[in-house]
Amino acid sequence: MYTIFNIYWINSVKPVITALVLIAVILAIFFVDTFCSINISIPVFYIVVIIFYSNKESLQRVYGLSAACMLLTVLAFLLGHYNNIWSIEFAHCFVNLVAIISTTFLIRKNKLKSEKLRYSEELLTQTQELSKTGSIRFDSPTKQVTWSHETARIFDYDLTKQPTLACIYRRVHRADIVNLKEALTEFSDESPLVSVQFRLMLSNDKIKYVCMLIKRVPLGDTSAVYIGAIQDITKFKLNEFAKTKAQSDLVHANRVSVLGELTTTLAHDINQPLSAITINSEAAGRWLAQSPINTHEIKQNLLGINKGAQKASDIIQCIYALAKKSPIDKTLVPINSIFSESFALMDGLINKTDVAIDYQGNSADCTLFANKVALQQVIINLLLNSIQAFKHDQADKKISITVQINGPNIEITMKDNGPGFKSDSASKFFNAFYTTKKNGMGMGLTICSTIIKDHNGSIKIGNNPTGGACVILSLKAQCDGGEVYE
Amino acid sequence: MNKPLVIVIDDEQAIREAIGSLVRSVGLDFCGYGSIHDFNATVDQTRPSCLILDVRVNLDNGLDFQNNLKQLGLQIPIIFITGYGDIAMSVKAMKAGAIDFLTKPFREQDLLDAIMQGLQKSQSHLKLLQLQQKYKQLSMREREVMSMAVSGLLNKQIASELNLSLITVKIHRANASKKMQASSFAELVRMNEMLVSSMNG
Repeated sequence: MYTIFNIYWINSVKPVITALVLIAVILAIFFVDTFCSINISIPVFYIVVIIFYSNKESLQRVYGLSAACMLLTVLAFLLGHYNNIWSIEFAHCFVNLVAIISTTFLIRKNKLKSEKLRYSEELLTQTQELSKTGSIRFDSPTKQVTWSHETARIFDYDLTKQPTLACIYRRVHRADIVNLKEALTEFSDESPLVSVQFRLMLSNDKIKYVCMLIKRVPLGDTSAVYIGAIQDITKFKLNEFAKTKAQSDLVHANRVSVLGELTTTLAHDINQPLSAITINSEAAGRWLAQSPINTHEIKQNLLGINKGAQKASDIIQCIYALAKKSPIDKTLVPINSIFSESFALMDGLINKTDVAIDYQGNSADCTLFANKVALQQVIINLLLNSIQAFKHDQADKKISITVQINGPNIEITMKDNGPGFKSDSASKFFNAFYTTKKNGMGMGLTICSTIIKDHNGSIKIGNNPTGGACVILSLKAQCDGGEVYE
Repeated sequence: MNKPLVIVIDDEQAIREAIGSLVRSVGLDFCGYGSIHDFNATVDQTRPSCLILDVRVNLDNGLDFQNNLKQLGLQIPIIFITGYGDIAMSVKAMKAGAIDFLTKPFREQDLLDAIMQGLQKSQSHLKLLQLQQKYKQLSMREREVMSMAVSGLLNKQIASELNLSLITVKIHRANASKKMQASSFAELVRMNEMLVSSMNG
């Protein structure tokens, strides 16, 4: 009820009353001006009224009011001095008119200026809202914080809330507070600009990702002002996460499909040690049944069982590592171990397809900062491509692999003596879904190139001058002796 | 007679050693090779032996090796073992005369049964070889008398058939029996049957 009355009051009653009061005041001034002979310049009060009025009203209305006031001033003069126009009063009237005109002019100027200011402020607020970027200012000696509407919104505070440093820190994610405080100590004369990313923990357990750019403007020796721009990058971050996840899903899918191709031969590889275990245990049983017991043979049997179990477990470990959905974290990996474990997984297939592999490892066993499983995936993918490209009846199938140190890089060259690539297809290899295989997905090389790029390396594909395919991988090395190449 | 010998050719050392221990535990001699090349294709003809062969040893094909041995005329029973047995492969191996085709991991009893079967075959092959050796020592007349005698003819029937005196026939018959080392006439009949079937076979 009260609200309805309020709206009614503001919308229809208030302007009428304001107008009536205004008219009454002006008429009062007019009557005093005309009929009282006070020895002061009454029309000055018109100026007061105009100034008051101009505060709330548009320029046109101010013009109207000014014109009315001027008219009344002239009228009062004419009514009081119609018999003696050219007196000193005429000069008074003239001065009054000039005063009203110049006031109106000043009001106009002021109004246009403030209009412009309001317009640009509105524009600023809107663009801040649009770009999700807020501004903030911190005066270091007074510890006073001022911020824009958008900043308040980003920090999830009411617009009327008076900002303080404490209420900013209250919103920062607990895990990121240290980071933020550390970043704020990094100002120096050379780099007055600091950029920091952190998370905000909002009241409803929502997490916001923000990026803040802060500039330090020194004022005198000790004090300074910090001016910051803070941007809400939650959407961007979430997109990025989704993209990373999609990519790692794809990489994982490829790993699983690679394992699928290896399944039959892997079964063979595990069967070998299992056979050895079975036969050894049966033989041990037979030796035990004899007298005198031949402990030497039984020891050998047990040793064989142990070795077999170890080998089977090693292979399973490799499969597990490849099949597991692991985060793409990187560690220092010796280059030769990447190959030896890839070969362990592919041993069966290599044997079955009669391909001879000539591996010239790196004698220094250089290490690189990499994700072992991902690089194994690349090696297995490339070997699979090579093996599957060989014609079934080709004699003397051979793949030679060399690992060389070339400056700061490890260069891995894989050559085969198969049919090689068709020259016109060279540019399409890294395109998704491009394949030359009958049942291929066309994802292998695309994923290889993604993985290599993720390791800041490069992959080149082509044919040997003597025939056959050639793949050159180049990766950053981290050789021993503490020399780290960046 | 010497101890029977079991030969294993497999590139997997663990498998070789395991089979070796198993074979020794049943009182047989064992010899293992990591590749076909190492096994220089000499077969000891004085004792029964049996070959356990991986279908794929390094880059060599065991089935091809089986054919090579056959062409060289080396008679040795072969038991194939393989990690990936497919039907076509096993049919080919069995047709070429393999004793068995076992897929890893196999039961040790199956392998031992196959080994025993192989050694038996080898033994009878050795016996046949010896018989043929002995038969070669017979003269033409002795062979004639022997084949007629084992077909059931009496000495005098043989004498009239060959236009020989009874006493000569008796001497030839006794000589043949002695050279063939037959302890009885019944054994001589069996020996003859083996020889005839091997010649027809």
